[in-house]
Amino acid sequence: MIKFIMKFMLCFSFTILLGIPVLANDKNASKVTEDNIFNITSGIEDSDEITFDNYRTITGIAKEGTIIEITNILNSEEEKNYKIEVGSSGVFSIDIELFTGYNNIEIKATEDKTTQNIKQSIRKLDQNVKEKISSKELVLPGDSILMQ
Amino acid sequence: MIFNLKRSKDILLITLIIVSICQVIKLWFNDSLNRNFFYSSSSINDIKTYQAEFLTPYRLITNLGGNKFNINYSELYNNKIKNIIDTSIREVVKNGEYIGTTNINWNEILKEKSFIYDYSFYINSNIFVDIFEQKNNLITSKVDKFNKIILIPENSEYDKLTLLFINENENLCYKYQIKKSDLNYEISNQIKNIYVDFNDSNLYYISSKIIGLPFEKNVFLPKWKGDKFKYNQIQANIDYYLNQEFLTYVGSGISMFFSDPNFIWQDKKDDFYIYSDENVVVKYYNNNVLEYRNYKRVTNKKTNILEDFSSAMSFIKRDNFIKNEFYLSGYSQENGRTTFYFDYIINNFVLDLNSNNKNSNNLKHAIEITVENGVPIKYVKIFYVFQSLPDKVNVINKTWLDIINDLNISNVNNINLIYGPINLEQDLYNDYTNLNWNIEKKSEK
Repeated sequence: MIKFIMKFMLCFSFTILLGIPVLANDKNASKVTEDNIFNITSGIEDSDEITFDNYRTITGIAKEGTIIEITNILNSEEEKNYKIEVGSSGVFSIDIELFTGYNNIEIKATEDKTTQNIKQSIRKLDQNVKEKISSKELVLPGDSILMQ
Repeated sequence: MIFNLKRSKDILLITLIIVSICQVIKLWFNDSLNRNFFYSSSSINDIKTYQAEFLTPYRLITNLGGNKFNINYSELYNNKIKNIIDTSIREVVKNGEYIGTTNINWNEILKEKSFIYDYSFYINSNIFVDIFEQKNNLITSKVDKFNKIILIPENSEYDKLTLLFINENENLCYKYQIKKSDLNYEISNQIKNIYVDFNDSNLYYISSKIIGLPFEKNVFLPKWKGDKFKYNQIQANIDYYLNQEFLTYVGSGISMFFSDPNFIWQDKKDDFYIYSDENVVVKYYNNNVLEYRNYKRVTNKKTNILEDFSSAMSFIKRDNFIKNEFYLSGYSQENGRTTFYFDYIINNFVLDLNSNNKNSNNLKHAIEITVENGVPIKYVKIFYVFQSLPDKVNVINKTWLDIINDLNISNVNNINLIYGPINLEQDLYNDYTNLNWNIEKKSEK
């Protein structure tokens, strides 16, 4: 009986160990399943990000004729809209302007009557911060500074 | 007395011999102190310097992260950043370890910030280790040929440095790594400096693999803010008029090829002017192409490709009429002779020479030089100097997306912006050259 329990525990452990990476991959793979009418290939990270970029190029793939609409809501106040129809290449690319502060971006794709969307937030820092880093007035971890 | 007479005769004879030698030198080599010995060999330092230029990539790509790439074609040799990258490469090759060989996964490779050496031809790893003076077989035992080198500093582990050799034709990625390197910080810092200075209002590049384009190989597509890209037109320039001044100007550009400019025979044919002596023939064609041929018997001493390249560079660098920046775009070998091909860079774009058009010289590159046993035997170049015109601004109206939407992209290998293509049979002097989209289709490869 004890031997049976031990064998069962061993098999169970192996199953769990093998199953975890498979489950993890499945979570990441959910963005590119066949059910998606569009996929974002660059421009949007998996999690909220911080940047100095003035513009962000959002690229992706979708069927020809799919309408891609992007809305950027800044700090829950201003709103800017972009729209493009996917051409014969099946690739789309839209430059969206980023404003200082929190840019809440929603990307919506419409193919025939099907609509899907993705939301993400990008925080743009003030250009003064970038200039301070450039002039060493602001030092990031790992930078070297001249002691005087 | 007899002894003295004999001695005097000997002294007189020796004196006369010395004087006659001096007179012959003066007669044949007039002004020998300033004589242009076009065949004189370079110093050892020059040879090593020229050989190192073989590994100067035709473009240095900085991966800034987030699918943004900065590409630099210009002033790469002896560039400060390139020197740091070379030092890092040397460090990994000397003290690193081989990790493994895989197929190329561009999405993985381009996820990390890095520097990329992009070559326009494939380099044999034996040549690489010769130039980097590596005695061990760490590289040559695994890597055959490559056309890209990628240096990736580690962000998470502060001191790990990864080096990749990429062979795109074979779809192979050879990975090397050094666990602890002080240079990791330096490389990261250089990339960060470029990022901090980066302005996305200027031209930058994005990767076709990351955005999902079905090109066979990864292509870096030019990207700019808005719909239009402004650039300066260029003009082919020769400061001459079709009269005696022309011959004087051309003549000065030709005399450097001869051992004694005072003994050049010249004539005019239908399509070209011809200048020659007993060993050298130089032709200046109506389409402003110059061709030099050396018929002097070359030595039997066998040379390797780096020695031939060094001779080629030494020859070209002495041509004061080459004023545009140039890069090695490839080479070919046949019957013991190596031909090196060079093209021009202007305003950080390549000048393309009538890749689709035929010209009477069959010239496909700005400079072509053939070397046999270390001696240049043929040298063909376009005689123009290309200048950027600050007051002539034109625009590119179509973006890369417009271009690929107009094409059947399954047939496309590469698209890029180039000046030209130049057609040598046209009058370039009175015309401006524009930047154009160059589309390379699969059947042309």
